[in-house]
Amino acid sequence: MMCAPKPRPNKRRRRRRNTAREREAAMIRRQHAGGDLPDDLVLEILRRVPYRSLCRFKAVSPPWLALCSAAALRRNKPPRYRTLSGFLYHSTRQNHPDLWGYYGRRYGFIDVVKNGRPNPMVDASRWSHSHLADVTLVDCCNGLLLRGTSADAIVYAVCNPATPDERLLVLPPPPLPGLEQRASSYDQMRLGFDPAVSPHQFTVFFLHCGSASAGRYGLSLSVYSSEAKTWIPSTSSVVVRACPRRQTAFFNGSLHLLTEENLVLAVDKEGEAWRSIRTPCRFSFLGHSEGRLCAVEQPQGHRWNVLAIWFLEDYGGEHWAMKHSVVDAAGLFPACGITTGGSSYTVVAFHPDREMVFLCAGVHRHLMSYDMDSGKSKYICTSTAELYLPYVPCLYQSG
Amino acid sequence: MASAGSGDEKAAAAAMITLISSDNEKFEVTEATATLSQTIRHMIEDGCTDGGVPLPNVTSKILARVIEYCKKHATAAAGEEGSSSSFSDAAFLEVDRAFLEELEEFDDAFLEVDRATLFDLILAANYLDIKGLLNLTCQKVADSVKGKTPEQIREMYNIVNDLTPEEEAEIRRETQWAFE
Repeated sequence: MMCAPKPRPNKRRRRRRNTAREREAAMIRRQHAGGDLPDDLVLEILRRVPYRSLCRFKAVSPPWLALCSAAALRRNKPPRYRTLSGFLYHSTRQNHPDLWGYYGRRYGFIDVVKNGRPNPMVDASRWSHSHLADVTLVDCCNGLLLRGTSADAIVYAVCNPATPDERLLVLPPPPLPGLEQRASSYDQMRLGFDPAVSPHQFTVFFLHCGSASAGRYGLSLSVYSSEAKTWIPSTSSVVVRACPRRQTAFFNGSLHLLTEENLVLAVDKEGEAWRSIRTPCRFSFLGHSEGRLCAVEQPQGHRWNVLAIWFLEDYGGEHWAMKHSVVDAAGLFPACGITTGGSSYTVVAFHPDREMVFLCAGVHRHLMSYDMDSGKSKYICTSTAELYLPYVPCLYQSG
Repeated sequence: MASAGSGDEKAAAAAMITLISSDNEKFEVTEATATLSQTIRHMIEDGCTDGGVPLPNVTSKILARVIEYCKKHATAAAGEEGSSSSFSDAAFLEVDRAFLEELEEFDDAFLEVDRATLFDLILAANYLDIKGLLNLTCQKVADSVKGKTPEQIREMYNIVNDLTPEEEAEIRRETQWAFE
């Protein structure tokens, strides 16, 4: 396969010009023979194809198998890869006799695959067991679940819901910095786990936000790694205000969070390397999809009913591109046969491998998916859930 | 001295570059348009553009399209450079968005070409090192194949399937979720 010559940005080019000319002449002779593109350009194209299609294209022919495997590798995905199967959720609301659907359970699993077949990855019935009654779901990352028990002091534990014995790994209490005696309600506990990098290690991030009443706005971080088995306070701290809601995403080995200053802050698993990424507007939700960081623009002002989704084009850079924009977001809901009762929507998750976003709306909390590619919206269920954790089953044993 | 300097800059801004296609057609473009191509930018920096820039593997038909793209996007790039400081300025962002929408419309119309032309544009964008155009054209091809079945791909690109039935079954088993 041919390869287009790229002039180098140095002065030596002039001396090599003749040979470059010859190569170029040879190129013309071959170029239009079959209209075929060289492998590196085919990879450029495949890099932009959704992961799902890429996996399908492996069955086209042996060269395609090689190219698609190479393109898939560039995306850093594990070979035995599983995709989003649904949401773990919890709800603290009282049952309401007028509501129907998924209510009455304080914990549950919503299957979004919905193709009628039983899902061996998750035994949903297990989630209605009474021994979970005082458990709070905190975070879920690539198949591992971080949960807390609400006794006097919250005890945090990590487990893998896909393993039969659901072994718990109980964490020691996180350290509070300085003179502060108690955890603030803005504190956030987040899980970081990537089975492709290491199936046996996970990281828990404890973000302690100085409260306004204590006059401290700084964000301090402690990291628990399953290797060290202890909390290590991060030496570097940054003076930013993290958004008080759950606007974080674990992606590329780093935890990303939205700040009040219109920045995305990324911190690595060691809690040492911080990076800030400027955002073009105020974001209200952060996630990742198809190997890119993505965010939802905060609906405000005359754009209150707009659903605008931004993607970070190149992880190393700061260029965000608005990929999808729906002017009448509430109008998506009637399209799938439900009414929202006039209230606006909330984004609950991005699909990690498709250009799909999950939204929740209406007083009855309808959950639906919106496919950004086809523009189709689909009703999933009605639920009293207050927290949806995207669940990608992981069959490795952890810890 | 200062006035002489600004005079030079003006001259540079108005400087014209001649591009010569493989079939010897000459295209006069401004330096701002031409430097969207990193390849040509380096040649200008090396001072070897006198007498025209020969582009022996780009036909006049394709070069005309590439220049059309560069002209439109050169004005966009000029706007961006002047505004980097007003990144968060809401009023500016609105104007910027209107312009970006116009640019998007242009790009959509620009891509309404047959597959052979599209592939030629990809080759030209790669050779001339025009990042935006390469991204645009590759994305267009990616969009045209995504969601397709292996059979449809074979038909689109006249590919002979020389996987054995066993090999194909194995691949499909491994990536079964993608076919659901």
